[in-house]
Amino acid sequence: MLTILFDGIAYGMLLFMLACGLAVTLGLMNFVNLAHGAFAMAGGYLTAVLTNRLGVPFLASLPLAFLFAAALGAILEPTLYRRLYRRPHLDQVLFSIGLVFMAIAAVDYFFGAQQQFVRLPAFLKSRFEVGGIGIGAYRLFIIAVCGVLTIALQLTLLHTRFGSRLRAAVDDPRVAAGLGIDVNRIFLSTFAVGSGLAGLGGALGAEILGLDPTFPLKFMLYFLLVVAVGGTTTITGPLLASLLLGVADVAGKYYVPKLGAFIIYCVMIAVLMVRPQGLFARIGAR
Amino acid sequence: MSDIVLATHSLHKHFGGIPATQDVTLALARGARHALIGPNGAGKTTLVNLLTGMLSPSSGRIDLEGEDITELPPHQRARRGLVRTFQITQLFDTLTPLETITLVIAERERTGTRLWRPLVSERAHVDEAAGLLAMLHLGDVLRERAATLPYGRRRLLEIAIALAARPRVLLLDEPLAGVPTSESREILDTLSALPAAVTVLLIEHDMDVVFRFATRISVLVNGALLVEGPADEIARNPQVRAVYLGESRHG
Amino acid sequence: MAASAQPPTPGARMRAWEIAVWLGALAMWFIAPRYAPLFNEIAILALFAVSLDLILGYSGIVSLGHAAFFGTGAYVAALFAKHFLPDPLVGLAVAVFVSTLLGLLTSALVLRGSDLTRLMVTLGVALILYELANRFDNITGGADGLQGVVTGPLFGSFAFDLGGRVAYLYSLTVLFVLFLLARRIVDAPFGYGLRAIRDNPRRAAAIGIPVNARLTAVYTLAAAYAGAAGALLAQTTNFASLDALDFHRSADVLLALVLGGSGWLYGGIVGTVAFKLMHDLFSAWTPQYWQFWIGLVLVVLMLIGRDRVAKLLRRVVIRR
Repeated sequence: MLTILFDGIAYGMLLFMLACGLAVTLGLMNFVNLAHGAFAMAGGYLTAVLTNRLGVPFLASLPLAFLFAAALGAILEPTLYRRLYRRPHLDQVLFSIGLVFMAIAAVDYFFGAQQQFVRLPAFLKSRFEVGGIGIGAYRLFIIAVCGVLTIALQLTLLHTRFGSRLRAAVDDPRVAAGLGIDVNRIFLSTFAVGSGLAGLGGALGAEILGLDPTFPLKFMLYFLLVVAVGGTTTITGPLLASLLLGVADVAGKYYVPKLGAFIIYCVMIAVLMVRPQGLFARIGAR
Repeated sequence: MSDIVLATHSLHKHFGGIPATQDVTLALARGARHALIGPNGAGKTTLVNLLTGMLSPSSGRIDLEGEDITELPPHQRARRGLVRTFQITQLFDTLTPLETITLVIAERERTGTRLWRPLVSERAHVDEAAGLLAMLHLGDVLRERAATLPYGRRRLLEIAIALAARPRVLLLDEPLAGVPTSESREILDTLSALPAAVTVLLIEHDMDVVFRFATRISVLVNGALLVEGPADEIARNPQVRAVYLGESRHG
Repeated sequence: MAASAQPPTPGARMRAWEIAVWLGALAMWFIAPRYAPLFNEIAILALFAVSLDLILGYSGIVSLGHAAFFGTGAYVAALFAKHFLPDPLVGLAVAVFVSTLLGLLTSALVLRGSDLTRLMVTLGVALILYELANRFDNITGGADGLQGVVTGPLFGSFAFDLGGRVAYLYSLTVLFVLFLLARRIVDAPFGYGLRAIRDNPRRAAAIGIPVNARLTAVYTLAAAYAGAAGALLAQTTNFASLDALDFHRSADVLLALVLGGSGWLYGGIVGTVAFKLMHDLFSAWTPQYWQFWIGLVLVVLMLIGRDRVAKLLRRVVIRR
């Protein structure tokens, strides 16, 4: 059972990595980006190509996945996304769905519809026992990487000037702009980093979550769930939500295989009914 | 026993640790012309929101015609004749004034759930709507979408909505806010022409209007009632002058 | 919504161009019987789009999972014909009944929360149904779809021909009847109440409108309409599959409504025609990757702005 907990935590950390960019985008720009999964997919496919076709070591491909997805984000944000910040959410949703369709079709065209695999280094493929708990090296690796990044994110947010500017912009963009904070630059860098993290998550997750052209749609709900349950104003909110979700999903699929997926959906609906603004959102937050 | 139409008993409201409304006890007699004044941020709109049900009180009670309405949702209070106008104009932007007022009348007459006959086929309602709008000098924009109307007209429509509902108690939240003096005449005339049976609570910053209109005044400071009494007494009250009237001289 | 390109002013009577539209649709049955299956599909999807317009265009409820009701209607109609009674009208009624029930049950979910909450909740419901249909594939046929559905003849005499001619007339009639009903409703006080709720829910409550009750009613109604559309699809194609519950259905119908313009009922019809034309065009270019072009259209449209697109299309259609 502890193995399940461990796996669930790994899954949850991965989800967090994938979804935190979405949370920040929503909290900061008030933009519903359903195409967020496409950035993850981009990172995943890049890693697959690098490790399989170009023989690049897996560990080296990870930062490249991050940079690639971040670059995509940095290009798309000022050219496309920024025009839609003031639009109604439905317009944003439709726009991002359009991007997703394009991404899915493009990936299908270039790579075909089959699952992509990533070549992992041998040391990550092992399993070992610690006090009776079966631990997969890969999942341990995920927890480590995501954990470090999460701490880095939190530190950046709380202890750097960029972090305080970001928090100010999230709280109130107009006031922040009035204080001389370059809100556009913050949007750009935040979107890029968020997309980059998604790309990294896609690369890390290819082995666990599976990677094919339908990835953005398959996991769209999970990302939204993390954001809805965790709120958009903190890092810890989505983190806790992701962990909760990860453990619940893994445990559900293990103990009640026939109904595994439903548990997540029902949990989401239950949470949103009780607290439409999310479980962990601050009172009075957007 | 006097005919008290709207009353609150020890109404409290706090947001987190911040008290927005503190122990407000208020009683409006039928036909009252009552004004609520106070500095900015005193909590006047919060009080109106509490009275209309858009906010739930942290504690206290609200009675309408002797009946406890504290738990009633906003639409039910409106259906019992407790009607308000909004400080920031709240209209139905895609509807025309004629459609808006006809809708208000239809809801008033409880025909709002009709599914078959068009709204505008009910001649009696449409005529009443047109008449009311004409009285408020909106007769020439009956069929323009509300979003296209200039601000002063929108304010008038805001009031028309409240009047069309034939309120028993009318809560006016700064009806003259932002209205150029050239257009405030219609609003003022309407205010003075309100039927005597309608109980009115007026929130206003313009003290000329307040003293012309109100017979009783309550003064709200930091969410609590500082003092209440007949208009001329309040005008002479040195505390009130210090807290509020002194400020208004600056605009 | 523009100030200049106004929707038709309400009135009991249909205006000349409306009559032309419906007569034209009927004329297609005589003029181009070869295309009956295509027109049938358009009529069905148009009904689906109209149902979405009722909640999105008129009431302001954003839904990313309207296919839930469409798919439910399809499966119920197919299962009913297969296991109980092949009569189409009875099957239609049963499918509508079940969809209505589902709409009523899930309406509570869309009353609370912001647009984002609604998007997620409606998406979630559609996904749950999809999973349900997937898991219980012994009943639903799973990914392969429900086989062995044979829809009986209409009124006992008019069998559905392979050419789809009976099907088209059937779907067109159902669409017409339901459309007339919807048209009445949106011009009635109830419909104006919905628009008021859409424009300003606080104000609507302040004039005595019970917002939640009205939204529940219209959401249930829209579910009924969508269920009818799904049932028509199942009955006229003798087939029901997971595709009817798939996310792309919800996204496609949204796109159709965007193309035609929401909030004037005919937008659903115009948009469906436009969407179908686009879809077939793209499929002819790139049979496998037409989704890419649909996506591109969505992106471009949203960059231009929904209002301007709707104004444009509406002007083109009405003036003609």
